[in-house]
Amino acid sequence: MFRTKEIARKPDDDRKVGVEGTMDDHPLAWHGHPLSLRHTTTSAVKSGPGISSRPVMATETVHRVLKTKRANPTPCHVMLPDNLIAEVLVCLPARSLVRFRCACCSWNTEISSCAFQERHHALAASQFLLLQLAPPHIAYNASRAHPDCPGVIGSKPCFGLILVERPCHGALFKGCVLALASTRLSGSFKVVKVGVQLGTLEATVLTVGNAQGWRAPVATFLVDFSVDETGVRR
Amino acid sequence: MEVDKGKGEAEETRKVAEADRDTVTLKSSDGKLFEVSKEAAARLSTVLAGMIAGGSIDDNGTDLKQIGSEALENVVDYCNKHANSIPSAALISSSISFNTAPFKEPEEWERKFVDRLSHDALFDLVEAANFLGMERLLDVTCHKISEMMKGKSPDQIREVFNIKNDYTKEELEEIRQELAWAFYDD
Repeated sequence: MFRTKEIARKPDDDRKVGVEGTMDDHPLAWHGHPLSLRHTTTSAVKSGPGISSRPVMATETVHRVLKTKRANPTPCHVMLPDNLIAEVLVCLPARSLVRFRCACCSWNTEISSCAFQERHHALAASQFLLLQLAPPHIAYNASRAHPDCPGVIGSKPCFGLILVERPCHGALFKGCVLALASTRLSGSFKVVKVGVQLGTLEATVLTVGNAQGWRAPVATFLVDFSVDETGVRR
Repeated sequence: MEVDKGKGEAEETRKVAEADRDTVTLKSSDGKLFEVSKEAAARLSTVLAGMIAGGSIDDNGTDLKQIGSEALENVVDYCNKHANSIPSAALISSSISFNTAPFKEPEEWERKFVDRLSHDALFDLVEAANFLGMERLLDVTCHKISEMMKGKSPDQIREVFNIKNDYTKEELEEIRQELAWAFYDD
């Protein structure tokens, strides 16, 4: 579930109170940067899952660096060459990357390029634990031998997710695919359930151990879901 | 450490002495000298490894004209720390199961190492790591910068990276509509 936010901007003052200023989906501040101070007042206070699970170290250093940086409030003077910008961008999660397509045209071109996206896929996929080849004993036809046993589809993970087929006969979903993934960053397991209902594809995500239960990722449409799925790295 | 013994022998002596030395001396663009463990330099930097193997290391300080003293100091610091660090059990086990992974999480000391740097120093270090072919340091520094970028708005990113917004207002509005989902909170 996500909260919808006011996207409309005041035309005369969009830089200060525009939607970009209220975006803060990650608790890691830009350590000590004067910008983060300036934006504190406009940042939405967020109380979602994830904040408490972040490493404490980062917040500890904030205070230390804030002090030193206040005395010297100049932003970065060093310009990184384009190839190094790409090295940095490729480490970012999909949601941030998509936002930064708005930064400038050349970033948009870079982030949208096939080569970049392939690299990002490979890197994001490497963050998942269950990426090795599926063990032969739970191969596809296992589900035929034991109707209730989920079968792994394919011998390789798909964009970092292992696809598990489990025929569902319930009223809600007719035939669904479960994908399992575990992120090394948070150490959490995620299960993505994709099912077809009345001709539309629906996807929900469960983070194991999260009391919120199943939640919709970014959309219930195939196109939007695939965007999220390929870059899941939270 | 080494003594001049006339023109003829000097070259050979120098080479032998060089091979015996376990440090190399690097000179920054502003002429400051730094010593670094030869083993660590060769292991961590493909460029330095090539220079050591090719014998183009100068005892009086190998010129690295592209790297300022602050960045070089950090590079040397990183090499020396890396030489002393014992790989954690977690890293060893992860390197077995993730031998195809292009990037391994920074270790605790590597995090601390980059956390203390200012933005300018960090950006300089990225360039130095790239110039010297230090893949691990490049990964760690890029990772750090990306950590700082997460959750930031395009406006904030533009200011920090000195980027000019070259979209027209209409273009920006269009692209933002298209990508509206990325602007929601989780």
